Amino acid sequence: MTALFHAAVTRRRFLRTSAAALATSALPSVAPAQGARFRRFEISDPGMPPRMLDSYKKGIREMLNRPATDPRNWYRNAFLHVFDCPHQNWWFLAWHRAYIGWLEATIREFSGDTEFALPYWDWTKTPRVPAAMFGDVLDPNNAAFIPTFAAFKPQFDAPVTALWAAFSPAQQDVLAQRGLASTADFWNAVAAAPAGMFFEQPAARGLTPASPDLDRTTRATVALPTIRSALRTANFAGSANGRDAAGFASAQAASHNDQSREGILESQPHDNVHGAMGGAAHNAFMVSFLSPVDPIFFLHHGNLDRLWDVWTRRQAALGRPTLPQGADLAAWSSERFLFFSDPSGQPVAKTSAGDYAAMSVFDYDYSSGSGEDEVPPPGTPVAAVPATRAFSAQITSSTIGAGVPAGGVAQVPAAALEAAAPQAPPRVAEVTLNLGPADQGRRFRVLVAPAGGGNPIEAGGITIFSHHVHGPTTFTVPLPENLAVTAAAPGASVPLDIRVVPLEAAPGVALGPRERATATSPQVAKITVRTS
Amino acid sequence: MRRYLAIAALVASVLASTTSARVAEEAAVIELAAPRAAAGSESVELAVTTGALPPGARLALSTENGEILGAVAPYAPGSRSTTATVPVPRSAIVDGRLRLRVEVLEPGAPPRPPRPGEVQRLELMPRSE
Repeated sequence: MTALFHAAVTRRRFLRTSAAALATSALPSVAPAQGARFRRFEISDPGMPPRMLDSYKKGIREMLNRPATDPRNWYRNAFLHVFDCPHQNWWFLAWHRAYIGWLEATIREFSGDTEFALPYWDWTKTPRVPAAMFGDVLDPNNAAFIPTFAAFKPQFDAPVTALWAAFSPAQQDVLAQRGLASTADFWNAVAAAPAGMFFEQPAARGLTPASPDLDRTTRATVALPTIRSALRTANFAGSANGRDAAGFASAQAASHNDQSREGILESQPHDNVHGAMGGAAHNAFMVSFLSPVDPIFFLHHGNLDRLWDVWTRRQAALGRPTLPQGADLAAWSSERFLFFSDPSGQPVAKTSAGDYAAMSVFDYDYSSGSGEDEVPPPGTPVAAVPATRAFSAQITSSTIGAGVPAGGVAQVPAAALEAAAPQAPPRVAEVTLNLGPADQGRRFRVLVAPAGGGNPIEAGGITIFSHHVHGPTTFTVPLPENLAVTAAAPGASVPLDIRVVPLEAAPGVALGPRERATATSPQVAKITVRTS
Repeated sequence: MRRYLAIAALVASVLASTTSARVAEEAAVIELAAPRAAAGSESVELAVTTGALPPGARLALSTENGEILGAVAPYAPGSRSTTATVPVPRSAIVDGRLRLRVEVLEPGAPPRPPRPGEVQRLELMPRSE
């Protein structure tokens, strides 16, 4: 029976895939992942079985009708995004894969459609709200949704209080880090807009059937050139505070509750589509962290998840890493996601980010969509991205006085300082200064010279400009191209003397008497030379 | 005019650490220098750090000729700062420089130049592909 069932599914898949390929004939034909149980179709794909949207509607309606005490209630499910969603860090994609995957499983359960898979919205192909998403409960302005905050809060007040009382210490810790230590904090956040996240009808979604288009600026952020740029990002995640590329999945952070740097995918299509759903008045659940109230949230994030799959296959075809490496992988994989529930309403067993590294966790794949042409055929010879090497300097004098430089000496292999290949990452010196508030506006030159008498060469400058000048801050300056070095012996290292020299305050930034009196505070905490 | 000068001073001072930035004479158009020529296997990214923006506001980034490069739409509510990445096509960089127009788009208001503190960092960076 099982074999027969799979044979039938496979044939249906073939027919659907053929139809999808015809519909997207501008894209090269790429074989779908083999053996996936479920397929997520682009919502306008004629190959998508029409019942998919009916099943989605049925599941949403069931979830809307669940009591507020049930974690599978539609709004309770949206609360998870307020409690726990990571943004501006490298868990952005994994957490949302888990979130939409568990929602999809719950819809499958409630709709009775055992083959249900969420559609996705390919905004590159269709830069407007798909017409189908204005139908019935696919629009949060539908009467099945709670229309006002005044009607909403009485239904959820007691269940939220009970929920807070039941949270584990680990969950409470996450909530506290996000400014949600108490139910009062929660209700301050989930208040009626504009003060809070609850957008009352008819402002539950800003774009309408009469005006469904993404605005001009947002269309640029979802256009194919932008998507291709995102897909061509060579690294999964950049460093937390570095000047490397932020990475496809956004940059590293200490925890999924912290903010770091956004890569192209998150900052351009993700953020801007969320914002654009508010329309001219910027009113919509989608502009807030209560965005999963709008069913289009899951189609939006489905497309982002699809692009993660495209990027993963591109990286694999190029022989590049598809996930963080080494200790970074351990740190990324072990991050805990503590709030998800399964279709029976019970906490899920898979609570680590690493559990969601592959789509096999939910056994699905995607029909072909925009960006697929960035996946080269297997075996395409492409030069690997050159690795970088870091060399720490020994700090010889740490205190920068008035006119007194400070710095250190780094031992760097002479070969690493020779003319770099065109595709090599830049050679840089990373200078970490311990700063105090009085340092705002101060400027420094960074000089580099081979130790032992070589003339110093100006590598760059540092200007302190921040509203929150406090603690260690790292500045990156490129090493000069004309840094001539001579090694004592083949393969030997050369000492690079790197000095931070104080200058006057930045133009237009006048130092007061207090700042002048204390303008000796910066300490050179660390210097690292990074080369290919 | 003062606010344009403030932006200019801000951007110039921030960028002095890694790039040689020069502020254009035109209001709200900023000229950024790439740190070095992007190699054949590289592209160029613009790293943008915003300060606090008004509710619903976005930072729109375009070339002087009006080609939209991208936008920064802070999503985290109450976020005081967002660091975003915007791809920059090679065609937008002329003689190693990008002339960048920065505007704030607010709901129900015409585009305007940023006010001091709304843009904290703009930096062009080559990126391996």
